[in-house]
Amino acid sequence: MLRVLPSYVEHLEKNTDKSYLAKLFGIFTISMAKFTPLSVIIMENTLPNIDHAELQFTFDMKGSQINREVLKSKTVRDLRTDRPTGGQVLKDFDFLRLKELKKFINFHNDDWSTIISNISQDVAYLQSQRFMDYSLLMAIRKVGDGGEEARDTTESNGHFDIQRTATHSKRQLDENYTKIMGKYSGYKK
Amino acid sequence: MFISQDRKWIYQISVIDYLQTFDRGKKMEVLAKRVFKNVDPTRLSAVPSDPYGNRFVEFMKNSVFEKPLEA
Repeated sequence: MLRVLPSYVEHLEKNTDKSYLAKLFGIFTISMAKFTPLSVIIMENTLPNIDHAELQFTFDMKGSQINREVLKSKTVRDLRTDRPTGGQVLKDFDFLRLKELKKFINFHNDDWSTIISNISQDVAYLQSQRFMDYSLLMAIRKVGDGGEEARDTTESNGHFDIQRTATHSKRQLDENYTKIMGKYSGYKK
Repeated sequence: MFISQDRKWIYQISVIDYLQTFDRGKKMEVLAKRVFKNVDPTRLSAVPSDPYGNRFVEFMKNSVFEKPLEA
């Protein structure tokens, strides 16, 4: 891990505001009596800071084809009528199926070019460090569902859902920026 | 954060779980899946870094972010 830090910093400096890599905040090793040392990496939580129920869909996509479906048992009709899955993390095939049904992919031309070029940069970096198995996490929500940024865009459009004020429970605020990924090496007798 | 052309959707994207290298454990994973599950190794998520990244970008380009029609 420490081996890649210099190049990681360099990549982020070169691509400030462009990289989509979830930021690394810190690496710790916690040693306690009776436990083998526990290594913890703190990374940025990249999901929007709103109630997950207000998200329409969350997808984790890799581009591989095995075991990349969560809603396998659902028929097309189910998908059409079911409530949005919000915070439940769906995968590649679910995305492809829902995309056809819901037509939620509709990027601006410029955004498309930006995204593809930024992703290519990130991937080139990850390849240079021999990383693999990463995912693209995409959260999709409706304009007007929570979040201040959404507010401006609803002004000019009359037909959106009634605006709701985002409510943050304390728990979510606590979770806000960190997701702890730990490597737990077990209890030492 | 991006907003769709029709201003209905907000997208937030990021790359996560990227601290995995193609090490011995992953090679064993490929071997095990090939032997026991009889799957085509190129379709697995456990492939070396270069093909993994190329496939990732292709998938994003062609399937996820559809190129918008020229206005």
